[in-house]
Amino acid sequence: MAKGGNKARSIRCPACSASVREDRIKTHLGTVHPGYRPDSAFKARLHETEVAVRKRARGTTGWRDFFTTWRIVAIVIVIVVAGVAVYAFTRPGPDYASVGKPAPEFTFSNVNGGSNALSAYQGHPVLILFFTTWCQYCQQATHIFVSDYYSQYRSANVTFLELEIYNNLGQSGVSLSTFASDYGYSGQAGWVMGWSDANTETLYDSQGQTDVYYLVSSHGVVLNTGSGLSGEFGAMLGQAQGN
Amino acid sequence: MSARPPACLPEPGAFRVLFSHRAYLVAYPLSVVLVAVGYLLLLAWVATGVFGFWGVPFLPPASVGLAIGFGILFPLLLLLDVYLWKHPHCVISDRGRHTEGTTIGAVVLGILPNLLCCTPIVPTLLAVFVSGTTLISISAPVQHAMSVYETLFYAVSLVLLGIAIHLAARRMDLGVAQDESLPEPDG
Repeated sequence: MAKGGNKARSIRCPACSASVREDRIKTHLGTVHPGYRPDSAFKARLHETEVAVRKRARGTTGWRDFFTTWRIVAIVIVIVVAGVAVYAFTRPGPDYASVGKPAPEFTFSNVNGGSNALSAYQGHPVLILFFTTWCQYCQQATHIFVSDYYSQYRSANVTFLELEIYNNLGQSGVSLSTFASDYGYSGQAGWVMGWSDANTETLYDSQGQTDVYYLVSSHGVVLNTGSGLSGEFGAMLGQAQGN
Repeated sequence: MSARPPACLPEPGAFRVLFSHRAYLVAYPLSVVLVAVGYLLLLAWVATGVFGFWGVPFLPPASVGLAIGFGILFPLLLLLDVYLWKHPHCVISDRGRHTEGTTIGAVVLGILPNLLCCTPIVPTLLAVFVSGTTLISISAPVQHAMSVYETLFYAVSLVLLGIAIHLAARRMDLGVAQDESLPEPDG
């Protein structure tokens, strides 16, 4: 156990009085005197010896002892994930529809069978969410909207427009009709569900991110955009009310 | 002090030894509550971006199950490791010493679905290498898998934590530890 030139010390075996290296006394007792039960004083001494041996071993290896392969891998993973997460959440929004500019016009099919255009909502603010039915955060966002914010948005005359990303991003999930009925959607005023087309995706969500939102003012200008709507309903409502 | 081989299922004996000490008996339930609540807050924070109890009721049942599972298992592993660190003479050998990999794996798998599904992380990372429809065709299946197999990820994470506990328990020399936990004879 002694590393880097540290010489191991000897200890007297309490059973046979032989001189044994301190890092081997436990093995010696276990193999040569398997029935021997040391008293508490020797146990304590053994404990101290082992702590001392470990300390000496640590002292000679230093930082190398701390930076085991697993720890290095873990540290690298944490740094990479944290870096990407910080970048992902702080970078500017998607390419085309951007804050301060007029929201690009688009049309969509709504879940009740009709067709709508964004311009039809001019005159009051619109919060648009691009989602997939299989995305758990989008489900949470809808859940939070229904239970905590629908009435507030209704009072403030803000429309919540939930659009399924074109073709559910090519992945399987429940149908939009099922998703809508699961959350009690029945065409209530101020809450619209529908399907976006590929062209709208190119304009608003070219990277295919789920849970991307846009807040559009009553004059049709993009006020805010981001990803992860669940915790932002309150902030979006506050911003919409001033515009 | 016999260096007997570790039992195949050493956990019950190791837990008996551990909880025969009053300090560990008190520390365990406290740690369970602390870790479970901490994990619930962490998952709610990742999911909603808001730190606090507000987001907890909106967590899916699988995430709540993971938090409770972590709350029960993680303190056990932690207390076992603390016990073995404080009582080096109760350690059989270096066998199973490196439980870090398993523990890190459990923690990473437990948080992976929340990090990689439905956040900008995967698209942003992939956007460095590819763009356009190729980007979507790669990132969408990754996010979809993370979302759909979330429960499986959580289950594997808890199994890994169980393995780490098993490995830690195997390191305990039950003979020595049980002798030590008994009261000293008079005289």
